[in-house]
Amino acid sequence: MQIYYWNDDNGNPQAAYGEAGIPLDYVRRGANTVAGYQMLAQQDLSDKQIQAQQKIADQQNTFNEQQFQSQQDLQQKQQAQADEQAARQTQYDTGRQQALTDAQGQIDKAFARFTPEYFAGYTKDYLARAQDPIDYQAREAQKQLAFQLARQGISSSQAGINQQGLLDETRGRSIADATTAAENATDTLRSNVASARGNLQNQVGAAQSIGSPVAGSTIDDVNASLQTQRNAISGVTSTAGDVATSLQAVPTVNTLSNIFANVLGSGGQFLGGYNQGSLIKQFNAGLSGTDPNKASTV
Amino acid sequence: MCDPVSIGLGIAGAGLSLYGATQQASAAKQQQQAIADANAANQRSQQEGFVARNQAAQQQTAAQLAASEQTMEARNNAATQMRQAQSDAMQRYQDVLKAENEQADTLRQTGDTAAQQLLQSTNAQQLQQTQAQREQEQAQLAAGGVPQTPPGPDVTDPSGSTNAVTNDLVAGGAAARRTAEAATNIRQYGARIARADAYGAPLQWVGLNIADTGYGIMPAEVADRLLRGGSGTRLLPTQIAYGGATSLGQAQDQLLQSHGERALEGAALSYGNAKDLADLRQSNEETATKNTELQAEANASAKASTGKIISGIGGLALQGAGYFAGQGGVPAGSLFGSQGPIFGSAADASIAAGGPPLAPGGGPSWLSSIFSPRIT
Repeated sequence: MQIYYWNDDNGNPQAAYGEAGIPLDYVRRGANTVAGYQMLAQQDLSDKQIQAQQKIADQQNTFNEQQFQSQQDLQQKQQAQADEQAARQTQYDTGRQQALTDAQGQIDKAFARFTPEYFAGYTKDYLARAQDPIDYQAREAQKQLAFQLARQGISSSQAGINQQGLLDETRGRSIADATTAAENATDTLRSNVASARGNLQNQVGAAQSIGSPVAGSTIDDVNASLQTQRNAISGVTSTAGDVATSLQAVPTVNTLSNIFANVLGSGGQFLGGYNQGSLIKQFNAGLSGTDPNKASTV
Repeated sequence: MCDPVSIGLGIAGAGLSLYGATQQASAAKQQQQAIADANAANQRSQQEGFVARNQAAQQQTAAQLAASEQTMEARNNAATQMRQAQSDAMQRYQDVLKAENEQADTLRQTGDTAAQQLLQSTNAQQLQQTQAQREQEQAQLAAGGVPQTPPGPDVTDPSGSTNAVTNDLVAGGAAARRTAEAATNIRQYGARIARADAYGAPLQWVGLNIADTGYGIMPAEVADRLLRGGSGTRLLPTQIAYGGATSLGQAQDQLLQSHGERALEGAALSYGNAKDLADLRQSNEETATKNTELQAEANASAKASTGKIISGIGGLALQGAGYFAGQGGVPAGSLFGSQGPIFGSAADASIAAGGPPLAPGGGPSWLSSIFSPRIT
């Protein structure tokens, strides 16, 4: 046992009787035995451990919450970016589709003149164009035939009528052949129109495919891309009218050969021979008293 | 006869023997009481330690239960929130898919309609009708070029201004017959040509209808491509939402788990410390009790030993009194009659007996140790 001395907080001297080996701090706190000191020290240690444990738990919890908050913020940011990108993608796709629809509308407008009536008129025009030289040659052939018949003096002969019939048949068959050409030309024109329209459409599609299939990162980028595509498409659609106009070409008909030459040539030979034969017949008939001016019975 | 010395010696011996016996009995009683006190103290300290540990364990149980319940409730809420967010994301995914599918159905309907129209416009009946229409159209065209009346020579006719042919009724009739025959031939020829050429009309018709169909469905086709191309981008938010809900839910669950574990660890630490304190307090009290008991036992043992010695001395005195009484008295010149005290000095006696020197207090060292207070 011993006496411990110390000064309190106010500087007043204090003393206490206690067992030896007790730290003064614990004597001041009332521990006068070693066992009491050990109990207080153990209690202090326990309090410190619990406080440290609580502090560690608080720090760990704060760290976890910070990390969670950061992850949540990142998630929200990523979600917002994805939402905006999806909205831009829809707007971008809608804009591209609308540009394409508008372009097709312009093509349709340019090609609106190519109606069934248009192609029917083309057929008739083609046929008229082809028939014109036929009729011209027919008229000339008729004249030649008339001249031949007149020269032969058999204008009202059956042979002349036959030749006239051949001329008519040749003319009619030529016109019939020309209808085939007219229909084929119309088919060709119709195919060309469809092909030209399809080519324009393909060009529009190719122009529309310019740029990334994925929308830009901002709405300005999306609008810029759409404007670029509209410009590219407008370049194609502006030529649609020219293409359509170029398809309205005047029907071109191949130069017609002298389709009546054979008829006239063979007719002339025939009529010459016929005339000779007739003259001989009439001569012979005249020799036998037949009136050479008698009207032909052929 | 007994001399006074023997009588006195006998009385003293008897008194000493009686006193020693009394001291031994008292020592035994004290030892018994010390053991009883130690047992009571141990029981008390054990009871106090048990109560302290029991209260600490109850507090730990209550704290752990509360922490577990709180943690489980929070985890349940977090899991419910995560499931709800996942369900919402899945629903959004389905909504996006549904909208895209509806749009795709609309586009497909355009294609289906165009395909049906193409099939209807190119079926056998339609192709046959197209061929017939083409044949009729071409035949009409060919017929349009047939002269109805035979053209006669014009004003350049060498036969004069009048038409010799038409003036000749016979020739006119022949020309009419021949022209009619020519017209018939021409119509027949035209009809044959029209019929032959009309065979190509169905193919032409099919080709044009295919081209028209392709042209007509192109916007829908491109829209379908755009729809497919952008589908991934439109679905991405829902996938991010689902993954984010999952990862956030798991992170929050881990956070709550960690929070709960810290609470459990805190409760365990509080319990462990309280138990250690209770153990320490009990151990201290048991040690103090044991020390007190040992001290009391030692004191009682010393007291008993002293009583034994005193009793022994008393017995020795009684034996001497009896001896002297038997001889008729104490002889002159004996120790009791000629020389000082009966025992002389204690130091002399100890030295004479070959024992240890006496302690400064006058008694033997072992005796001094017995009678002096001892603190342990």
